[in-house]
Amino acid sequence: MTIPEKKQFSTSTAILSILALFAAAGCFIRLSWYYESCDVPFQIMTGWGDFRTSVVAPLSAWLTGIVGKPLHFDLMPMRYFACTCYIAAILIGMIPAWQLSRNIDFTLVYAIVALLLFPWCRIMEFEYSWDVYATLLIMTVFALSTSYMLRQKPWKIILAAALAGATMWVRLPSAIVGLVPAIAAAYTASGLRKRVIALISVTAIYFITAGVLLVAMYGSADTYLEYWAINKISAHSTEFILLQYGSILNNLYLTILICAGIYYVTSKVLLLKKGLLYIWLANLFVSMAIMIQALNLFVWAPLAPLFITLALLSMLFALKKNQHKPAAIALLMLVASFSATFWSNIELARMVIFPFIPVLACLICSTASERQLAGIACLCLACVLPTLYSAIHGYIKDGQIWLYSAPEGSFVDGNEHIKGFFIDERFRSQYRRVIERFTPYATDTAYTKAVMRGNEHDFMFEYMFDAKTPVFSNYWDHDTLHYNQAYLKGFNAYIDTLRPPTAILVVHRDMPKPPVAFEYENRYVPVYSDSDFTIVIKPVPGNAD
Amino acid sequence: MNLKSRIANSSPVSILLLALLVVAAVPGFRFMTMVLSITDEPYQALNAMTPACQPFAPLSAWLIHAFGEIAGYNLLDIRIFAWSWQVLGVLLGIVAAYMLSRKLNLSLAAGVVAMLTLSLCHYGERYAGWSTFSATSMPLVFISLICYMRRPEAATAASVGLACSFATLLRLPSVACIVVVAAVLIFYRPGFTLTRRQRAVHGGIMAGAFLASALLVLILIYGSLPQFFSAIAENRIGSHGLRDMVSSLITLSKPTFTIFFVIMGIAGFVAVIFRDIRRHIVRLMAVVGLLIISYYALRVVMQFEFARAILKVSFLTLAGSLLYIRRHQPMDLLHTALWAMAGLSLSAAVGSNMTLLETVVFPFVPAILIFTRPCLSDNVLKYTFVIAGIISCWFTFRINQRETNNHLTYPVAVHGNPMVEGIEATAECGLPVQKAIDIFTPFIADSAYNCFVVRDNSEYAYEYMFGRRNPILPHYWDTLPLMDVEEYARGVRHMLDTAKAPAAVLLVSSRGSRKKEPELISDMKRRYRTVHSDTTFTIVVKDRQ
Repeated sequence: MTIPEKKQFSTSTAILSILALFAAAGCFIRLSWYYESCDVPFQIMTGWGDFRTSVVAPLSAWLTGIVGKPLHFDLMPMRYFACTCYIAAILIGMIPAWQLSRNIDFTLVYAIVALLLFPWCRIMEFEYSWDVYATLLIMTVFALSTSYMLRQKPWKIILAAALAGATMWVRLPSAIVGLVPAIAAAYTASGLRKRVIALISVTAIYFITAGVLLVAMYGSADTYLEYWAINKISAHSTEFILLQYGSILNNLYLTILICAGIYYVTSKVLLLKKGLLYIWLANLFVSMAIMIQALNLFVWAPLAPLFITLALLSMLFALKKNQHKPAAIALLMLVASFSATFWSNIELARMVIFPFIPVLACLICSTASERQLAGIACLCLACVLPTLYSAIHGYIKDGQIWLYSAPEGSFVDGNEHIKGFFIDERFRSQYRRVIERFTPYATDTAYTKAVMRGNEHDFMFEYMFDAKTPVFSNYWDHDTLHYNQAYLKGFNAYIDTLRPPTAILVVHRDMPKPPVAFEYENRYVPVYSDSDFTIVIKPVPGNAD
Repeated sequence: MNLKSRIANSSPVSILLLALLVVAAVPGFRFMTMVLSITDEPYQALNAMTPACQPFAPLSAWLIHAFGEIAGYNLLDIRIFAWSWQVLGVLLGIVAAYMLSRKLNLSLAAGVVAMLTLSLCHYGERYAGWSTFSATSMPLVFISLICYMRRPEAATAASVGLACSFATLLRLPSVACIVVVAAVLIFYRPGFTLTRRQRAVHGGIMAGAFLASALLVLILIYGSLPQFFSAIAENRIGSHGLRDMVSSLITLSKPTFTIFFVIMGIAGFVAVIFRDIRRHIVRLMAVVGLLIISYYALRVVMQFEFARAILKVSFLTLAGSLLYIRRHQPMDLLHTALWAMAGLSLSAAVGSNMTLLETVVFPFVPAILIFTRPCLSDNVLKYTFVIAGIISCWFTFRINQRETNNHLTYPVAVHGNPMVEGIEATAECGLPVQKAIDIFTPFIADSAYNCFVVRDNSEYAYEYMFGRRNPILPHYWDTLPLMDVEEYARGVRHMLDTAKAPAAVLLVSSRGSRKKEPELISDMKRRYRTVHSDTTFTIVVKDRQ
């Protein structure tokens, strides 16, 4: 199928533009409803103090400091900012789609699809994190590289390589996005010699940019390495990530085979005569819906397997038609999308998908036959509908549908950082208690404060009370810190450096009260204790009251 | 005669294949001692002790009863008896394959494959019960149908009716097989030279033979039809209502559809490999890659509950694929037989709360291999069949092997009770059973005691071992703990209150699932003298006043 050109702005374009605006506005709905207490506070706190301690994303940490200050580092404004960036990424994704199709309405329609799916099928995109900046840069690199493949203007590939180099410091593992301009340059050049020259040039620009930024931020590579040795994030070791990827790949094989199976069966069912066709299509949908809805595999990354399958299919269709350029663009898209999730310990959830929807649609529509398109449409519906159902079903509580307004009492007052943040019923009481009991000390300048975490989910309490503790501040292993002697020693040393009196909050949620809490109660002045928190005051020496 | 056809019909090859068939049957018998089923198998054996209380499988109960009366009710002997019926089913499957192909060696070779698969990949099939007998009755119906299609005469029609009656009496819900027979009668066209009237007459003969034989057997077992119906009303089996069936069907749909779509995904990739890749070496690499990917994908699936049905789903998928491939061909003998085979395989599962796990597969393997042979020129079917077949067999084999290994590594041979003598169990299952034998046998052996067993769920093994069937809710299979069911608790209290003293009562509580002692046990302890009590077993004695 070929996509007809449509470059003029018409009534339909105007209507679609208005719809796109509405769809973009819809992306901000429910942003407060995602409960998350580890990644977001951790990443926001990288913007406090020395950004260089965030060794895997120093540029993001610096940007967080810049952006966060006017927003007071509050959770909800940061989330709104993140959402705006993701919408901007979708807009950037429209550029290559437009360049490929030269059809403004087509581009708008699929941008609307992406914007409509975004608030319901997003996984990690609700949160403010390094990925916000990484996604913007990855999309820009992709758009420039694609544009270069279509029209070879040197500035495009130079800028793409430079931005790819910058991506290294926005999120270190996303540095592999450098492959995108490299592939584009190598593909476009003719002859081996020119290809090698193009590759060397792109690589040089990439490393020069990265090097300049490194020197600008750290002064020298040695300083960076020193910071790295102290501040590297745990639970992201090569061994752990490779192990993680082993299981991810198995899940990915499974989901891709399932998607391929759905497509294959659908394409066969579509060959049936009309009477049987409808019966079998209905049958197919019921079976697919039961399977996908039941499979947890799709819950964590609902669109990733579909996205990968469709990208592979578009490559296949293009190669079959001897159209090498669309196949190369599909490859770039896969590499760019994957670069966002590379080395993450949360599998496929961080892949960039929504901004690529217009480009993907364009590639598929321009390479597939009508029957193939029908099969793909069925596959998309089969994968997306159950996810939408799950998302909507998740918000049906007590027989009352509350899609656009949160239930009463789900926000907790008393802490500016989490104002407007939906807190899950399971944790609401905990938040209320800790705010009520610890805020008086946290806001009283007479006290210094320290928060002892139990695990990575307790970063939220350091964040809420502006009490970032520099001990094991990049610790992401799943064991309990209360039993980690090195942490306890470091924490004790840290509180000794604080001016007394010091209010100490020991967080021990969802676990038995640890020995360290009892020890602190004996050693200092206990002021509050329950099953989740213990608050003690380290008094001024000689003043036990 | 060329070499190929000479080999195909030679007697030495037939003798060799027959020897292989015997060898293939050996592993099945060898591992018969493994696994102690404490729910389904003793329940079925209990029913066989008093066959009148099992109206849903009257002939099965009677057959085990007859065997038990002659050889004793040792569970292992009953299991070997039932397994012989499975083996007989495969032999009948070979006969059916021969009738369809008229090629003896080919049928025998297919039979060797079927027998070996049954012996090594027989998850659940080793337990004696209704389903065991369906493995014989369904191929019998299939053979009678083939005979009828070849020679549509009154005698063959009567044989179809008799075979259906046999299948139904062995397991009442398998009456669904008459739907398959009716469909064959209506849709099988080319072989028929019969007029519509003659077909109606044959249908009448089939129905007559079915009803007459069924009535005769029922009257022989129950005395009269009203007694049979009253037995049905009195012996309804729990957890087998329509709602339970639908619920279990949905639960089982998850792995079923997943496996189905994965297999179709494999088929899709195979289609692409053979359609679009020209170089043989690349093809080979792609096929091997696909095999590896499929292996890892299905390894994920095998973690799902009930995914052990992989072999059965694969069989049905293959049957469905063959039916799809032949969809434009007339309903000749082979095509109709293929439909009949798929229908009969499924009709053995009707009425079971395990649905697809109960389908009859192994006896139909020779026939389906015969059906597949002409289609093997189709690369997609051939390679999908090979990849999915190898992986399905491998995983089912692994499940058995894991189970067997557990038993070989840590075998607990249960001893001291003639009913379960010779069966080996894992420590988890065997030790409690052994304990029950050790603590309760003295009371059983003492003729002065009136003994009772009170269970808390569907663990019928204890009633069976001690030969004390509890008459209250004897067919309870629901999930709510039995001792919490008011009707049961009231009945037990009444039964013990009216029992002649001295009476010993073994109360078996659901292990692990209960946090505190059931009220019924506490009550029994208050009323009577407690001689033993732990988390699982309580023995109380009602003394003479």
